[in-house]
Amino acid sequence: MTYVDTGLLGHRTQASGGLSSFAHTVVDGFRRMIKIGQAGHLVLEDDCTRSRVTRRERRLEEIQRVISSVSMHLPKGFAVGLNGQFANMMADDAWEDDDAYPSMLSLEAFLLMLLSTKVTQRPGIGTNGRGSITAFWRDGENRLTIDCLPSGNTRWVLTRVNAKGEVERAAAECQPDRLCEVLNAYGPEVWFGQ
Amino acid sequence: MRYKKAPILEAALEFRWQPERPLDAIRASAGLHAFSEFEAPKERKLFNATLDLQGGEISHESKKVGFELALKDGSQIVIIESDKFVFVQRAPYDQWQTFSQRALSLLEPVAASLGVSEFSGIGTRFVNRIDIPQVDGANVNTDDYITVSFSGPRTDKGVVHEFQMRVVKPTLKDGISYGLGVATSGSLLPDHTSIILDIDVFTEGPTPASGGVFAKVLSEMRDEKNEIFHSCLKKPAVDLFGGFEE
Repeated sequence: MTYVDTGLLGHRTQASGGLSSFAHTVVDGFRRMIKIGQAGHLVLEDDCTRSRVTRRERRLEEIQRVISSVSMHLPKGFAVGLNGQFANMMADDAWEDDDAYPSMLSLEAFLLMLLSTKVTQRPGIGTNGRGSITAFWRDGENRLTIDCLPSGNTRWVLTRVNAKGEVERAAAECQPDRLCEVLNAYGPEVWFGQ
Repeated sequence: MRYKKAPILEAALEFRWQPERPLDAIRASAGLHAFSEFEAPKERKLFNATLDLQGGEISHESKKVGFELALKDGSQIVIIESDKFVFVQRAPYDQWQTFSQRALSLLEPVAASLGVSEFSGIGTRFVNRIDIPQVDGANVNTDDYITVSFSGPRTDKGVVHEFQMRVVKPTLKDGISYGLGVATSGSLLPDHTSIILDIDVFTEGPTPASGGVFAKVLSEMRDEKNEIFHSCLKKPAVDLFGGFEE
């Protein structure tokens, strides 16, 4: 049922005397961007774009835009907080040049993980430098780390002190929408909140 | 008041002026103290490419037109070009008062520094995405959720799987028109279908850059935007927004 890619939004209105970017980029954008100039000439007018934007900055913008676009399904303050965390993680002075940027499939897995587990406590985030996004929670000795992989899967490892005071450890790989079910045996509310 | 799950993806306010201001003045306005929270301004360029069909030659040129500034978390973006100022608030959107006050607090020093006393055009654009859960994987009947529907020469069978529509027309308010885009869309959420409501309300004449008339026009544009939004929705759609926040 996908019909419209809403990747590029807003940023100008009909007050510009031209097309909104929704129409510009989506509905019939390319046809309208190309116009007949002098006889025998085609003129292509691109929208204004920023110069000197690095690939890292562009990927960060993509990540922030996608997180923002699902903010209404996340707990209040989550999206802004996560976007700040990604900005810090991918800051020029914090990013290792050799590391692969978090992939958009990893981001999708990350967001599906947040949505399916209904977390109310924002995780710490990191990356393994190979395109994944790592989410982690810690409550005393209870630790949970979930790697959201470029394959769209998640790989998790946990340490959990049970009701008898015994330390249990577990690890597995699964689809993000299965996490809620498979982690349920370990009382995930210590990490995810109620 | 705002909905708990307000469907607004992005809200924008745009103010245009004539004549165009020189790039040096635009650069200076992007460096005003009002933007101290923002990341360093980035230049914006307009690219033109021309293809000579007979000669098979391609030529291109780029022109610096202004600057773009964004908060570190990407939640707010400001574009200042030789003939316009745009403020963009990405989701989550709070409410009109917060949104417009923020936009005006950034606009006012820019307008003052550029000597703008009248806007040749004002626009406000709200892009909404309504995420609708599918039941047993069945296609969502958009007619159940929005009042905009397909009325074609045939009825055939089943529900409309995909559609898009855009209309631009004047409102009942003098000098204010609107563009409305409605389309189905994919959703990041599993087992959901989305409907995009892209509402763009804009003026078609000059407006003073401050004072009572300016405030009245903005207020009217907001009212039109809200009226268009709500008149597009049926109750099952509104129910998806989770009610109002305290």
